[in-house]
Amino acid sequence: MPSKPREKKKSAVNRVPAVETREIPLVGHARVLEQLSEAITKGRLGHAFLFVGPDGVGKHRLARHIAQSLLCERSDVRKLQPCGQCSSCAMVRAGTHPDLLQVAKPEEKSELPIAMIQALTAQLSLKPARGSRKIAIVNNADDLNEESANAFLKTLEEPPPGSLLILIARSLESQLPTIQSRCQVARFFLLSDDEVARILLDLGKVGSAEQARLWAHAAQGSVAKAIEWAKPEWQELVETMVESLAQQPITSHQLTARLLPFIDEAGKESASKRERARLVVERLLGLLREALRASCGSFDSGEPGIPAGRLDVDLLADMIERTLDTDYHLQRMAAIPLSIETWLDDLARLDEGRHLDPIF
Amino acid sequence: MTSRISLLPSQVVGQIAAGEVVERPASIVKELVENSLDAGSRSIDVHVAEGGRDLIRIVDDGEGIASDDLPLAVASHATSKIQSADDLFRIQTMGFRGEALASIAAVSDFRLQSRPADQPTAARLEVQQGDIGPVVACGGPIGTQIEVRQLFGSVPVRRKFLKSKQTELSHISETMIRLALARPGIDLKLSHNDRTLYHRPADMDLVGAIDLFFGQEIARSLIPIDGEEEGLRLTGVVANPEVNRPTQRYQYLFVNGRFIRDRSLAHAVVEAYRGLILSGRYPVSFLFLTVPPDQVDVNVHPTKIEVRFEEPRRLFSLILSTIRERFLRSDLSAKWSMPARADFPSASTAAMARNQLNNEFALSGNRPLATQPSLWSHPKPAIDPGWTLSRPSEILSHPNPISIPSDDDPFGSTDRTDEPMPSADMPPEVSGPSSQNRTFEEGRPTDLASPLPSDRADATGPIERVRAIQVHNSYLVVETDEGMMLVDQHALHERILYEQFRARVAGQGIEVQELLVPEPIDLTPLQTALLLEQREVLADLGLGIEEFGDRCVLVQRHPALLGRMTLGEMIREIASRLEETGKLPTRDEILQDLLHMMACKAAVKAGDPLTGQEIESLVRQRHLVDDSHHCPHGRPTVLRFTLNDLEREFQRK
Amino acid sequence: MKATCHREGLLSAFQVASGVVPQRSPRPILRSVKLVFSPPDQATLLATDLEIGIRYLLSGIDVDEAGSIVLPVGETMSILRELPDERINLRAGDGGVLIEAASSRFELATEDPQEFPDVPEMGSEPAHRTKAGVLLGMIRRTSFACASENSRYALHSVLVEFEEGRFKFIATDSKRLAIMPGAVEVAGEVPEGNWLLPPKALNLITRVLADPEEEVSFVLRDNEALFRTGKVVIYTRLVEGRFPKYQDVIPPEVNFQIPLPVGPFYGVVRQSRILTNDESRGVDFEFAEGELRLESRASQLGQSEVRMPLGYSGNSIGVTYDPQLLIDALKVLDPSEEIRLELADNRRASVFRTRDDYAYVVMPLIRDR
Repeated sequence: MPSKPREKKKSAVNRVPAVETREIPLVGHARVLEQLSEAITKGRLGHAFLFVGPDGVGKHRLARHIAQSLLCERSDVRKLQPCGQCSSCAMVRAGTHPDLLQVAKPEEKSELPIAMIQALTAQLSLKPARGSRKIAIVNNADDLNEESANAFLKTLEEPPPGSLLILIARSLESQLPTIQSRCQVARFFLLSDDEVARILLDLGKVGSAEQARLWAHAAQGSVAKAIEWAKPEWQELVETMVESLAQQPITSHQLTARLLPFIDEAGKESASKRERARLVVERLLGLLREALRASCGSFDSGEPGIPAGRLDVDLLADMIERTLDTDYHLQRMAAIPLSIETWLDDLARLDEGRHLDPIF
Repeated sequence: MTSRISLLPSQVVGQIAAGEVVERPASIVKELVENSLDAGSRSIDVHVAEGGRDLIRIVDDGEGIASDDLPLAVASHATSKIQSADDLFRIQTMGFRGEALASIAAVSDFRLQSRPADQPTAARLEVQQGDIGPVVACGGPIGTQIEVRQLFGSVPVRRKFLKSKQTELSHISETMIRLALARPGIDLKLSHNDRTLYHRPADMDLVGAIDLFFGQEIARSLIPIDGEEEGLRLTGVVANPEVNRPTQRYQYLFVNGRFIRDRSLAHAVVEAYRGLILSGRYPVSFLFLTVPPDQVDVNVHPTKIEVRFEEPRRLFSLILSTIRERFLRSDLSAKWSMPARADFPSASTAAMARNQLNNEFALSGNRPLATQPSLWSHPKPAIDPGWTLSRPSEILSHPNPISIPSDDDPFGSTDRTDEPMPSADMPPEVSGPSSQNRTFEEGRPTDLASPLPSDRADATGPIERVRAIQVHNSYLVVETDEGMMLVDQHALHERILYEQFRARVAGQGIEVQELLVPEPIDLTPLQTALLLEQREVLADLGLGIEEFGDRCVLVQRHPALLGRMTLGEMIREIASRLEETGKLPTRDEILQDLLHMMACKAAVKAGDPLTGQEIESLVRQRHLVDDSHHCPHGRPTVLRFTLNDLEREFQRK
Repeated sequence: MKATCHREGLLSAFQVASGVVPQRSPRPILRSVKLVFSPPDQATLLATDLEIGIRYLLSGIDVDEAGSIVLPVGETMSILRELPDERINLRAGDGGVLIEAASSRFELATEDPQEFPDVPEMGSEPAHRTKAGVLLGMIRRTSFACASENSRYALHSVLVEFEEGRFKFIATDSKRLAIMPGAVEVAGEVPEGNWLLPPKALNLITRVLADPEEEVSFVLRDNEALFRTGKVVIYTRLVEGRFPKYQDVIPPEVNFQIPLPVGPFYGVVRQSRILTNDESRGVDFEFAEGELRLESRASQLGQSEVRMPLGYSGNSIGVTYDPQLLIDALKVLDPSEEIRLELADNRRASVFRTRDDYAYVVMPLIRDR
């Protein structure tokens, strides 16, 4: 009998991504870990880090790993390997550790609201509860607006003693220079297929090593995507895509009719719909890429895909280009249904040997 | 009559851009006043009701239209001005496009009455939404009177697209200002709903007119400009760079007596001020170019405010060099000692700002008049000393402009809007300025202490029964004489509180809270710099700030009136206003901002339920908000529905 | 874990604890309390919002099996309130807790007690001791003067300072400053330092302390402070930051010394506040021989003049105060007390002092005419 969630309202602090109840080994990003561990060993750990890299590669995961290591009561901090047993480790995992503060952009917002940053800095203004350190993880640092960023600057500049701030962002460019210059930057890269596969297995998201490899390959270095795409609804969707692309003429209308509701189901917020729309585009792009590789005689992933030889290299190149355009349009806030519809229509038109109208 | 109305040859018709003449009331006013000007009128009286939606009436004393010509005047493509295509390239007059009257008559209840000097009686022609009636002889004064009622009455879609009364009125007002500046020596008057908005007498000079329309700050800062180059002539006035504005709206350029917009020439003006004003700020200028008619093509744009020059570069350099040279000859760092300023005490900015505040709050109309040698070549009679200047901007923005009608003003008497045009029995003698003082009284200040207005409020107005209800805890539905209105409760209360705060603050000094320990406020470096730049103005307001690093200021004292704001909020709000507007705020501007912020914070919010009494007292003060009032976020605060609208919607009409 | 408790005893413990538990939190466990049962007859209830915390000792419990459970506050309190039974059974089960009474049975899905954030305990270290009444006085006379939440953190707290053998509480919002010393039995050597207590913690203390004669002991650690009375321990984290140098704000010279009886003075200040408003909040205080005259004037509101006899015989002086600042302090003083106002002039800080060494410093208003 689950306890009834009383209030759905979000509190300012401690709103974090999924709680992990089990200890899951850290995979990848050895260089970042090395960098940090060396800094700690030499006693030169800065007080603010900016983790930059693509989504779904484990930036937050690593940040929490470091937080746990630093807060762990038993293990040697320099090794950056928490014991996983002590009560600090348990609380970090449960998201209840008083010295680990986390903020993330609320789903329904497009920016990280200033109130959250204020609440965070207020909590940081308390002395540490358990040890000598306080760690704050700021997710979605790309979405700090100027106001929030400025509210945070003071703390970033002179953090209270013993505090470590970790900002997590997609791109360095989206950071205000004032923020950038006050942080040590750690860059994250896409994971290898093997790494992604291992994580998928560790997380128990896939049934077999074979499947893990398949999804890892399709996800191109992002665990989050691999997890997403391993879901049955995505598998079904891919089947539809393949079906639609497998023969001429491409049934763009049916495909549109299938994709749009799928995108719509992503959530109430247009941000989540846009997110899903871009994933859809990326997923189809993956199919086209795969087909391109196959037609060049390259490695066959074994993934269900467009039959080899169905589309020639030039056509695939054009279709890929058009697909990349669509991603760009979506990124630039073009209307989702319009983008998807014209994109698929254009793919069909390309397949018929027509030229496309120039897009302005 | 030199040129009688004639039908344009069809090729000319083809060469005229087929644009809509009748866009909105302001364009009708423009067409009609231009026609009056072309008819040699010395006095033009424009009266509009409800922003021109209900009535536009123009009365001139020009040459008039012969009764035989009346039907022709409302026929398409008739003009008395252009005979052939060649004439298009030598435009000397302004309203050359014949379709004006026809187009207007086609979409309104139109009445044209005219009497040339040589005609013993006047003749009248009525057109009901395009349906032309017979010409009827009648009594009437010399000149032409045109009445346009129920604009777009037959085209409901277009009527719906008209903006609010206040917006349309402001367009009309701007149109009249342009015409007045372009054509000195004409007695021009604009009134709205029987209130005179302004009256520019024929003998008023340019500076006087600028004072009338734009206020003394600009009028006192003007520098005359005069330059010439091979058949091109530039005259006019420009404001001292000290006096600048955040928009380009105050750059007026007239070519051969016609107001135009030209990006390149506007740029020449900005260029001339380069280095003298902050970026994001724009100069104030009133420039008059005289260009041989064959070097300018006025028929580029249907609304005729864009023109094409044969040699734009020469004009550009004429403007740039004339203004530049004038600046070089002057010591701009010193205060300008224009004659007009001589009697103005050279006071500190703060004192001036204070002065302004007093003016602002007292709204007393008696300002010293700038006396200035005329810049126009027209004869310049002495200015009637009894004429009190009133700033149109102020009057227009005031929710309830009140003017005291004078006896010699035929349209000044109350409730005349719906009466017919002056007949022969009562010759309309459109007069010059009246010599009596006109003062604009504010409604008596409201007197309220509680956050919500109390019942004492109604002491000012006649006791009336207010019928209002609150809906969705956010809006008030109010019955009015004309129909009903929907009021945003927050906006209304905010406005009421603002007026209260303003009145209270005006009545007493500002209290300053000194701090035991200075309070650091974190800001962006830009905000810090902007605030510190304004340290003195802020100090005058009781806000003592000191430098503390490049992203922080220390506040040592602050005005006690913070309302529900925190000190940090107030400082940041001021800083961000500075940032947004780039405006160098005066003491009263900051004070007003502060009061606005306080009012906004203190006012009831959307979603707050109100008691019947609260609703009633709020609604009693609804005169404080009207269509012109938008909340600081630019949203409208009042929606109006006339009984007419309602009856139409319910298809009773 | 298995135990039987008094329903009402448990309910009152929950009521105290519920003042600490945050109303909203994304983690259900943070909206819960933890109960630790130790044989034969004790249990400790722990509640925290990660800033302050409480430990509540319950006795008279039949502990059959030691252990810990986590209970969601809202539901558990409702259950405890609704049940008619005198005693109830608590039992940890698979992934949940069972609350059983004679004819009811509730199975609550709960969280792992190990994940519950810790609430530190008072150790064996020497604790300073005082009467609840003294501590309450120190809190009541200072905490109102703290700055509001959104200002500097150090000002949104009460400073505890140990100076010349005495503990003092100090608070300021930069317009006024309150200093209150208290009679504390000091234990051992007090290390140098100043401790900043969040107002939240002081609030909790005033809610928990009832009997002024009750003994309270407290310890001040580097990062936290703990207060114990009877069966309750209150824990709070300290605030980082530096408190302003408050000693500097009191003018060294005193040119006017005016005795004021608290009760009547409070009365006239309240009267004089009536005709003030946000835009004109100042009241002019004219202290003259034998009489205090207060005048306020608010445009469109009216004006007031209030008089009060004064046992003062020095030179007259006029000062403008925001009456609210005085009312805040006068409210927490004993009406029968006499205070002394000390002034250097009418622009610098004024100091109100009581016989028990309470000092309240107020910055006057300045009228810009």
